[in-house]
Amino acid sequence: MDSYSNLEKRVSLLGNHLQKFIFTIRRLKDNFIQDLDNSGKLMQIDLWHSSFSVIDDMNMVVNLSHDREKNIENLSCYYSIQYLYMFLRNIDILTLGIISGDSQTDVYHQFLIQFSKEYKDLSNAYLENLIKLYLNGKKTPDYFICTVGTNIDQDDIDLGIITENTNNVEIINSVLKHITQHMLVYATPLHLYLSEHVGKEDYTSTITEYDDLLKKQIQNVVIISEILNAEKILGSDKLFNQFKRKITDKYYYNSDKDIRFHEGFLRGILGEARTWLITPPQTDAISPKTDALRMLKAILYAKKTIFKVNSVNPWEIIKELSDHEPHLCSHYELLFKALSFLEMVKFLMQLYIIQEETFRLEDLDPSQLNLIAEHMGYKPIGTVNSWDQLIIDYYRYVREVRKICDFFMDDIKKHLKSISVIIKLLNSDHPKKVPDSKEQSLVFNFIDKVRFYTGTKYWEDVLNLMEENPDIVDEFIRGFKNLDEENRDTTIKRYIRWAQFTLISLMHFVTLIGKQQTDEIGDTLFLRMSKALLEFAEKQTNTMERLCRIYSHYPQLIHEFMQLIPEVYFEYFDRIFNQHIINERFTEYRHQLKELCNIHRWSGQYFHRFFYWIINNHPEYLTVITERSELSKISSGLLAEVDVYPDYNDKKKILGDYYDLEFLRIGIGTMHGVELKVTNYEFTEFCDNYMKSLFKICSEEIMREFKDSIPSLDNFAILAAGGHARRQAYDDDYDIISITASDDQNDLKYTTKIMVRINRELLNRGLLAHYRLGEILGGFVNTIPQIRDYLESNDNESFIDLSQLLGARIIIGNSDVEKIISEKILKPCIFDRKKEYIEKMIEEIYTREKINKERTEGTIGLKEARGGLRDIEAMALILKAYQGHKVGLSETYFEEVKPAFHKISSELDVLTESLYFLRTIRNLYRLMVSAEEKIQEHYLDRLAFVFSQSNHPEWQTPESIRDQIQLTLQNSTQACDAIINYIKSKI
Amino acid sequence: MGFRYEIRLSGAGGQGLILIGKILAEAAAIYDNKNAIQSQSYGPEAHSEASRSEVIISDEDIESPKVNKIDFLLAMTQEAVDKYADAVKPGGIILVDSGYVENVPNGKYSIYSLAITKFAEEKMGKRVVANILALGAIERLTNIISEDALLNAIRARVPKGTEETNILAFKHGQSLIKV
Repeated sequence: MDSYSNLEKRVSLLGNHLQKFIFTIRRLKDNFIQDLDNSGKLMQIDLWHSSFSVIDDMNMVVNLSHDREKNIENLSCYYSIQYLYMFLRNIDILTLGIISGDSQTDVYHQFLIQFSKEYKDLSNAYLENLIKLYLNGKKTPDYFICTVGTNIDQDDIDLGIITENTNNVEIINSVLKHITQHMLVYATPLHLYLSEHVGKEDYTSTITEYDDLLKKQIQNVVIISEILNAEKILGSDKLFNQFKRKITDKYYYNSDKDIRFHEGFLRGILGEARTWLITPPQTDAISPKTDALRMLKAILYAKKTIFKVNSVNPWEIIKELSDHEPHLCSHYELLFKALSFLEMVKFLMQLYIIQEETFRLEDLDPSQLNLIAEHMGYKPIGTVNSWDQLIIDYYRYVREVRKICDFFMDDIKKHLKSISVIIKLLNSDHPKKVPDSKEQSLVFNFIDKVRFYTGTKYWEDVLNLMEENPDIVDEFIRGFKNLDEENRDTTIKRYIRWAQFTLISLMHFVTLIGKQQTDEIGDTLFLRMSKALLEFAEKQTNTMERLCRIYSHYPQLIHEFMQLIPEVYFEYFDRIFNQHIINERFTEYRHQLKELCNIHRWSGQYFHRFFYWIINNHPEYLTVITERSELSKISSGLLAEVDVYPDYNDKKKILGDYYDLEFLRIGIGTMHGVELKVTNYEFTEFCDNYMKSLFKICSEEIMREFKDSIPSLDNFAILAAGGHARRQAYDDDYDIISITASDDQNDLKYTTKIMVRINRELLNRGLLAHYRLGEILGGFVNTIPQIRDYLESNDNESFIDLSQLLGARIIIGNSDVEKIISEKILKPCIFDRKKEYIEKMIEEIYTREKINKERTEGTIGLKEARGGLRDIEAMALILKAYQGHKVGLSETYFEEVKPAFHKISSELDVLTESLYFLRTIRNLYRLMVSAEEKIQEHYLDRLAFVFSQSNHPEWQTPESIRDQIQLTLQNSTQACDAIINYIKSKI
Repeated sequence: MGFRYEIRLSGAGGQGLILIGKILAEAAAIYDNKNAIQSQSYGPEAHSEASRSEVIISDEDIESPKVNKIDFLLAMTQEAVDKYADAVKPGGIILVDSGYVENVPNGKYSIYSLAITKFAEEKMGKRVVANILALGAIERLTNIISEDALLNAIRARVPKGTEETNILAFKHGQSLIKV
């Protein structure tokens, strides 16, 4: 096989894009070889190998013919051959390095540096010779060409072409237009980002044009970063140095110069870095550049200007920065490794797959991917192939880069704090006396000074300072107060324009105002600004993605903003949610944002209390708010963690978090239409878990106080009464009966102390504990004889306590105590006197009907109305007393007792249905409106919203719910009356 | 007199606009013997993850690398059409992806609204080829670069093993335009 065929064969294993060079070689090689032969230089160039002297070779090639066009074609043919051999040789060297067992990072780094050097030498020589050929001896004005990108990008060559002034630049522009065209066809295309954006409509730009543009575009971090990393490859040293002095140097930190350029660059580049940082990596593709390299380099460039590092090679920059900050050397070392690894992955993916920045994995040939991994030193281990191993390392490096960049951003914030013009403005004496004019007020001055930095996105340092100094925010509010109406309006508009570039900063700023609004003006300012912000956001077509990005990293910020805005403002979010999402990776965040929005908008204060508590402690839970199973796992973890902490206060805090998170999780489920039975079961289970753990913590804590005589808990029990006993979710109070069957005073003292401590914790959780028996009998813990004596007294009040005991459910304690209660209290007081108990209960039902005119205008009593929950619960107590059974009242109670009451089975069915419906309505109303038993009709639209989304579309209007409640109460009343008559006939 | 045709391809990152910019430029320059220049933008002028690629095609020397008066605008997002429609010259063409662009502007240009991404999903089962599908439509709407040149350039730019899928996407794109 001849040399060309061999080259063609080897290149065919690489990406399709390299076929362009084969195409060039195939077209031009015969003439080129002929020209070499004719001039007797064929043996002087080792054409079919990598050359060690491309500069000398090219000088020879461009002089082979007297025909310029032929020389240009020969040069291009030579370039294409060398370009391909450069890849092939370096890949062989990479393989050797890997086999030699050197450190992988060293091998990647050396490879990339060596390749970069060779590529630079080759492309510079090619460019220089092309310029010479096209200039054809013509004189040019002073100019220089610099490379502004990294020399390991195979895709294009990034160049800047700068002249001193515009005199005679036509000659250079004419050459460049030919070269640009020529290189697109035969070689690597030139990328002229700077030419496209700076100066007039040609390829060259002057230093003055750069100066003029960058004065107006401090936010243009692409141009600034490119010129900061510019490396002269051709032309005048003098002009290049002049360019550096006049343009580049002002972005480096220098306290003697106008610091705003350095500050502006930092605000721009950190803003860009943060945008990438808060953009989650794609799941169906890898993109080393957007996943990690962009933010890594942004941080390096920011640091480079702080420490006045002149190197342009990122590895060199890392080394120099590490020397400046030896205490951070481990971070720099990791960045060095990550940079080498990720650039290597990108290089090989571009070489073997496609010259793109994003590589979609679904369509790619697994054997190609494994080949890339093996080039990087990965080998299959058992069933795990090389690529899978590489991808694990890939995501590890991406995570590490993001973590370190986050850390460095905080670090750079400190630098900003010490040099920033804006921070200085805010740090001047506060509070100031009332300003004489609007120009003197901070609200005006701030936005005026910020104008210089228009377009930059990083303001976290400024906003954190405001957060730490409430006086500053107060001054903003007072400044606003002192403006007349027209100036208020204009000022708000100016602040909103800020959001065009940095939605996150303005949202943070407005939230700070909202959190600190202490008077009417503060409130007005917040309302006007938040409304203007939302109006602006709604009009932008990419707000949905911007919000998703913010939410993925700063969910707490959006949560706090939503916490402050009035309900009607949520309509703006409704419209924003309708915007298209291009990047599918944001879909899940939109889903979570919608959930968050619904919670803020549709739930009541009762639910908010627990929601705010847990989210303020753990904002990270917001990112799994739509995943109930994930929330459940976290809850289980929290409950398990209670045992791990040695400190009792820590234990109680974590247990509190468990309670709040479970409340949140189950509440979200209820508002999504989870079945009542599931809700009540889960709610009861977590409340019982909470109570059991709390009892354990308090009993252990109190036990430490009993040094000499160890008390016993053997004869102690805690029973839940009321709603908690009936396994009814969302009771905001907790009826507790604590009983001891022990007559040891030491035991009584111990259990009483435990109950005092438990009571305190329940109050901290917002649960109001009731101890009816305790209040009557004068102690948190009561003995069996005490209770029996009181209940046998036949006191009017004791009837309620008897009913509570009949419905009570043991949570803590042994079953012997429950047996004792049953035998010594319930049997003599209820089961042996059931006629008396039942008659009293019936009398109670009808007396209540007379007293309560529940159906008042606009409200419906779910509990106290005839046929309501209290009547249904009374029916259960009557049946229990009648049967002499002590069983709990679950949703299925009436179903379970039906076999014993054939004659009233249809009525029992009605009660089952009524209990289900009324409890469902009650639960939803408590979560979405308020924890009240009386329902206000005008809030039923919220419940209708839930039903419309769940399996009860028949109740999707407020009217249909209201009618159903009335029908249910009516049916339930009739059923209760029928049951009462039946039971009366039997006793 | 020669022609200069300016194309702007705009949308979001990940929509493959840079790739079709390169394909258009290489098709014109390498396989159709025209002059071309291609560029791409990202960063502050292109808001967050927005993406923009430009191609200038001419049968004469390209004196300026800057796009000034757009002959053809491909807008794959609402933001893109809102931002760049004004730069389209009278008589120019705007092609939008109707799946992402709801509000189409009014102007002295022709508007084509096609469900590009949806079509790619439905016909090919892959959103990822929406860019090549758009390229097929561009070929039919502009008539600036020959079909053969574009097919050659596609083959020379897409990953190995995906050539036929991409060619099929290109053909589907052509079929969306009724001549």
